[in-house]
Amino acid sequence: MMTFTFTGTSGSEPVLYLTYSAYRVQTRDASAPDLPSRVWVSHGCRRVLSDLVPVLEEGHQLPASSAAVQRLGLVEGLPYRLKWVGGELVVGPVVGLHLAAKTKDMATGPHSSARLFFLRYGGVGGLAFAFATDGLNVSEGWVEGYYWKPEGSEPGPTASPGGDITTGGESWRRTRGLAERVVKRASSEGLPAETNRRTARFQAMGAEFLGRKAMEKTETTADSRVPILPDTTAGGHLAPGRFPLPAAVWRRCGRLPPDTLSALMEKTDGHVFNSDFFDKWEGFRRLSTNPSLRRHLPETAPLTNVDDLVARLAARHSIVLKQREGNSGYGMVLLEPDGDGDGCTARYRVGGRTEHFPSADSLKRKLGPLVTGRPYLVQEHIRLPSYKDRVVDFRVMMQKDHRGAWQPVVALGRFGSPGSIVTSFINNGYALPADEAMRRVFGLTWRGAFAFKCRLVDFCAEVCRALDESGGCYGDLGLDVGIDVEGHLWLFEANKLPFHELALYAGQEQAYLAVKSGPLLYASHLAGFPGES
Amino acid sequence: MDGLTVYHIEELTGFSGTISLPEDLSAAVGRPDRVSLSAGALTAAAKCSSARFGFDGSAIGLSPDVRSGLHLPLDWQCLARAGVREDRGAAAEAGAKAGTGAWVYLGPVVGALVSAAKDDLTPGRLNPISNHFLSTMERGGLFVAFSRDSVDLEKRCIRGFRLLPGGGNDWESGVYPLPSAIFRRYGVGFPARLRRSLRSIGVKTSNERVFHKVEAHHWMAAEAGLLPHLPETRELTGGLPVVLQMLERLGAVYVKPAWGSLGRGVLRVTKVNGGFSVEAGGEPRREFAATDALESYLGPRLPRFGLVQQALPLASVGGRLVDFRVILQKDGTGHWTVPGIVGRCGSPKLHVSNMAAGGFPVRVEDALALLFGSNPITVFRRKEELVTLSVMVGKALERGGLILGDLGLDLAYDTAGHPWVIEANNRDPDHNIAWEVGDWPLFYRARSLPAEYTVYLAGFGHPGDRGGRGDLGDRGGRGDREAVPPS
Repeated sequence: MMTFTFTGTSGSEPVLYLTYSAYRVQTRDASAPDLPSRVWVSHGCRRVLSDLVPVLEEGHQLPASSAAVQRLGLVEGLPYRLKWVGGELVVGPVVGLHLAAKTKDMATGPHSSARLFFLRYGGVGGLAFAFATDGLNVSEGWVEGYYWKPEGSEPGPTASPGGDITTGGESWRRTRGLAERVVKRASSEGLPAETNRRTARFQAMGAEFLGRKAMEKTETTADSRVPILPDTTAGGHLAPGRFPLPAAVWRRCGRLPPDTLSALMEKTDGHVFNSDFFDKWEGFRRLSTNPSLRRHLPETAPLTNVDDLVARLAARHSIVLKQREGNSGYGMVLLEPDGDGDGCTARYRVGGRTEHFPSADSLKRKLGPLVTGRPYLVQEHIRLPSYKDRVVDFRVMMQKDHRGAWQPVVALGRFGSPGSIVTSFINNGYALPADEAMRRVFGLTWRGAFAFKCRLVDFCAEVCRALDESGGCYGDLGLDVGIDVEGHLWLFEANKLPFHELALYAGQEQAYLAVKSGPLLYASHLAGFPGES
Repeated sequence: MDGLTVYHIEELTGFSGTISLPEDLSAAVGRPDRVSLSAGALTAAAKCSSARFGFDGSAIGLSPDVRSGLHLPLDWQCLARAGVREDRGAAAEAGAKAGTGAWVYLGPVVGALVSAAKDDLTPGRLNPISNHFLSTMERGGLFVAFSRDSVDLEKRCIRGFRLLPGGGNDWESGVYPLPSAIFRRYGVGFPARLRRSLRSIGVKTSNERVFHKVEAHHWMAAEAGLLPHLPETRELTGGLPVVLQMLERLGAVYVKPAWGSLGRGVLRVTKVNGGFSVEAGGEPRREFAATDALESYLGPRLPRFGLVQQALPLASVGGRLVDFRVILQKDGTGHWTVPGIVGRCGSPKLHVSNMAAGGFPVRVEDALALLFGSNPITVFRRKEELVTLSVMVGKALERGGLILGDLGLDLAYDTAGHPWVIEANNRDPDHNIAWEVGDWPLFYRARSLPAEYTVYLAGFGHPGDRGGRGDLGDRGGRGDREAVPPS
């Protein structure tokens, strides 16, 4: 990856001084003019007509007139990439991560979890920044936020205007503490390891060695994080600034007024993902037109009248009531018809509470308010398998990579609390990597579990492609998939603001970091600069 | 026709030389009277009937002679690509046989070369091969295991076993079309002549031959970005003088045979206070005071064809060398990917980290934590660094002109925390290290990727690669070009 940094020089006209190699970047498909001249230069959504002046001495530092730096909004010292598009010189990538409604709520300090979004900046380069809704001014074409400043670049102002906000550090520590407890819960119900003598011997040697090393370290330094070797990989920190509108935006926050969103979409040529935060019903409608997916969607309809619901129960079908926009199974009710008569039993999400309705009328009285209140959906109940009385389903985190291709970054099985109707790990549930979950639930070998997982992730990729075709632009989705007792796959929901931390609760710290840092790669791709793996 | 639809075969009883195409395929080739129908490397011309005989939209009707001519099983689930040859000259040439430029290509027909002789196709050899097809089987296709002596180039078919669906180890013996793409296992290769013949008819073989250390070094050294990560290396031409020269400058070198593996034949020569010290795997260290003594000992032991390599001050923990085995493979979209890395702790006594010599594997996170501390972010960044470096190695080696799909790399850090590429090889890379470290999902992933890549080579790349927006241009085109049946 060839990168260049800009350093400001005097000049009231926009001028960029390019070395031969900077000028000849990508000559093969280049529409670069034959001789340096006056060209349009773009940086994010800014475009400025600039003079190009050749510089003979090769190097990665390019001078630019202060007018060019100011009008383009270039950040001095960042490793930019250059490319020619239709006779225009593009300086990039310029990507924005929309993380919160208010700038002061963004955690940007040295221990913040927002830093994790920039972990793979080294393979992307350019200007990558985090911003909040209140820092965005689409009409004037700028945005205030925090950009990733790789270590070794020019020093700049480090004090943030709103004080140093490090809540992310605390929450990351808390999350790790809780995650350790959940992981312990999961391993207490584990299966005997599928192993053989050779593996067992190696693992014993490894465990003994690692244990001894860990102990030596705590004895000598009391901090097991002290490395033997220096960390020479580039780090960095978040620094405040005002930037041009980015060429691509990742939305990690729902709070953006619709008109601001559409203005942003227009400016960026639709390079905003995830673009549509559709609810469960809209998601069902989008996918149900796809013939090959239709048989993987549980029958779903808005709850408009209670008689309809009673009729279904009378036909001896269990049904689930869900909020159209709820998450974590909040407000979920499972209705199971009695063996005879027109009564039924309601099971609630909270605390495994149940309630019996002896007649259709008593049910109608109870559910009447739901029809008029928060929008509810009626969904066919899919009988999911359970393990030790825990209902199990799967969450597959799908992200587009630096080439814009959907990848299953991590697949997890979720085990609910014993007796609960939902699979949330909160209240005594847990999560595990999908292979291990399939071994527990379906009694599969590692081999069988792997083959099953391949089916699961192929299916998820198909769902994601179908969503792309249904309109909008997506790059970070969390799919909820159930596998019924017959092995049939059911798609419950595609989450647009997926809960990345679930990987941590499943003990997959590295997968968590991969999920957190993935969207930057796709954002860079959308901004016209495919990242490197 | 999106490369995902799975079709099945129906028999057109009572017809001959005739096929009946489902609506989507037929429309894609302009409803011709005749088509050239291929499966694997085998092609036949056929009349194209417009009648559908009540078949559903995923059935491809074949008259018995067409089906047996192409050696296709009746219960086959396949993918299909179709098109019209645009080149007029080629169309006229093909027209002499097929009468039209329309072609339909059924597949993928993927082969695993597992033995030299038919008699060696025992269940013991076949059964582990089914692990390779765990991820591709359900997507449709013909997956065969065969021996080198069963290839009939004339008739473009092979005799071997096909894996039956169901995820088990059920193989069916029979004659099948010559696969359009092949991967090799158990160290079986094609002799150069057969390799050339297969290439000339468009059959692609992943890891088609084993490369040696010398050429691998030349290919890698041609990539400027890799140079800071390659130990200084020279070819061992003219024997000892090269060794002495390098030794003078660097203080310690390895001498490696070009074709060696598992650390066999590796010598470590060090300059120690005026004299020399030589370590060879398994033998006690020897010391020599003068060049003459070194020469008389080393002379006969130097490999005829090999290289001299700078011995780096590699990082070790508790006296054990810690290095990394990277599984570097191509995926179903034809791109390099690293399904996993396994750390290795070497034996405290030896200069090699091979498992055979008292070492043991550890998870990559544990190995990195040993070296760099247990901060998960540092571990993540280091892992990314190894992956990026490995992909660069893959791209560099590929420029040697070989089709490569499955490589094993040895990477290590020096005492300053700088990563080095110690070695790259494609001699049946060992995936067992994955289960040895207890990572069964990685083992099966590493097993299935070679087959996924072979499916891609056969012209049925998985559309996982289709971007949501933009980035279409070159990939869409490439898939189509590769789908043209070999002629």
